[in-house]
Amino acid sequence: VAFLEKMRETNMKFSIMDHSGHSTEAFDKASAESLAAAQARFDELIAEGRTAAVRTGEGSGRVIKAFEPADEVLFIPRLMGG
Amino acid sequence: LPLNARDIALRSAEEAFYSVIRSAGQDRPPYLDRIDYHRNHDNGSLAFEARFHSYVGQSVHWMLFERLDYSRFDLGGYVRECHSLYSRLYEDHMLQLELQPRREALERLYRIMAPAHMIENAREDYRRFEEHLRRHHSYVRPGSVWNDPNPYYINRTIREIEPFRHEGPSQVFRDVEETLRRSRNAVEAQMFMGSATTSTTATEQRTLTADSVLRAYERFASTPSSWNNLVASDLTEASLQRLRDYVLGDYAPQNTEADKKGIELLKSWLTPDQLAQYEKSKAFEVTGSHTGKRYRIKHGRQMNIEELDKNGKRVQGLCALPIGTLVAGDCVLAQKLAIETNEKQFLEVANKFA
Repeated sequence: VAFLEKMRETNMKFSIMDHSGHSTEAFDKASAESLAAAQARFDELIAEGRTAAVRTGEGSGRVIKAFEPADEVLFIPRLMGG
Repeated sequence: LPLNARDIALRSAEEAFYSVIRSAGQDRPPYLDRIDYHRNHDNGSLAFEARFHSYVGQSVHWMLFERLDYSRFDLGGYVRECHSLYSRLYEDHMLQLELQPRREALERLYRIMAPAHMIENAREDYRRFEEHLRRHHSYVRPGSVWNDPNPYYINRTIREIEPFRHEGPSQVFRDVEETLRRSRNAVEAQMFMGSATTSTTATEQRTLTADSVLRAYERFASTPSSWNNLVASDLTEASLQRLRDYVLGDYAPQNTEADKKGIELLKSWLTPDQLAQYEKSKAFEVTGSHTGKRYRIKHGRQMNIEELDKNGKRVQGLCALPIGTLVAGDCVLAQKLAIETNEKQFLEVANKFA
C-alpha cells in the first residue's frame, strides 16, 4: 500500500484525446528532469490549440492555462461549432 | 408476296428462335428489348435483329441474317446457338431476380445499419457474381461463335461487352476512398485554419462527404454496370468496415477499442449522479458555469446537446465538438467540461438549432 501511495504521489499522467480514444503519457513528479519534460510537452500541446483540464473533485474539473504538476491532466482539442 | 429462299431461311430461323424460347417455358425472354425486321433494298432480303438487355446491364445486340448465305444456312447450328445464348441470358435473368432483394438490402445497409451477416451476404453475392462473370463473360473460347469468321454463319454483333478486367483493387472503392480522402483533408484543413470554427461549414461538408459516399454506394449497389470493375475478393471486411464507419458516422455502434476507451475516460470524469444518468439513458445533465442553466448531453459526437428550461424541457439544441476525429465518449467529455468550466465561450462557439 505504501508503495502504491508513493507511486500515486509521484506519477503524473497526461491523457490526450485523439482518434484512438485517448493516449496517455506518464511523468515522474519526483524527477526534475521528468517534470521539465512534462512542462515542455504541456506547452507543446497547448500551443497546438488544446485545452488542459485537471480534476478538482469527483466528476468535476477546471481548466488550467499554465503547467501544474497535477496527478492527471486532460488535453482536449479546441471546440468548434458543429 | 412470294417468298424467296432468304425469306424462307429467315422464317425458319425466326421460328427456331421462338421455339427455343418457348421450350424454356416462356413466350419471350423478359429481357428481350425488341425485335426489328430490316429489308435490304439492294437485294430485297430481310434481316431480323434482336436486342436484349442482359442482367449485367449490357446491351446484347444480335444482327441475324446479315450477309446471310442462305444456301449454306445451318438451321441445326443456329438452333444450338440460340439455345446457348438463351441459356446464358436466362441465367443472367435468374441471377438478377435472385440478387434483387440482396441489392435492396445492401442499399438499406448503408442507409441505416450494417449487421455483419448482411455484409457477409453481400460479399457472397459478389463472389457468385464474379464466378458468373468468369464463366460466361470474361473470356472467349477459341473458335466459338462469338468471333467465328465464317461468312455464312449467323452473323451477330455484340456491342458494349468488353472483356472484364480482373486487375487488383476495385476501381469503385478506389474512387470512393479517394473522394473520401480529399474531402476529409479539405474539411480538416479548414478546421485547423480556423475558418470552420464558428460556422456550420465543417458539419455541412462532413454531411456532404457522407452523402457523396452514400451515393457512390447506391450507384454501386443499384447499377449493375458499375460492377464491371468489381472483383469480389477486393471486398475485404476491412474496406467495408472502414467505409461503413464513415458513412454511418455518429450512428455507428460503439464496438471498437477506441470507443470503449473514450467511454471509460468519460465515465471517470462524471459525478456519481451524472454517471447514474448516463448508465440509465446514455445522457446526463450539466450546469453552465456562467448562467447556471441546465443542459442535457446525449451520447454522440454532434447535435447532441440540449438547453433545458427550469422544468427540464428542451429550449434549443446546441452543437459544438472538438476538432479532429474523436470518438463519442471524448466528444461528450469535452462538451461537459466546456459547459461546466467555460460556458460563455462554449455558447459563443456552439451553433444553435431548434
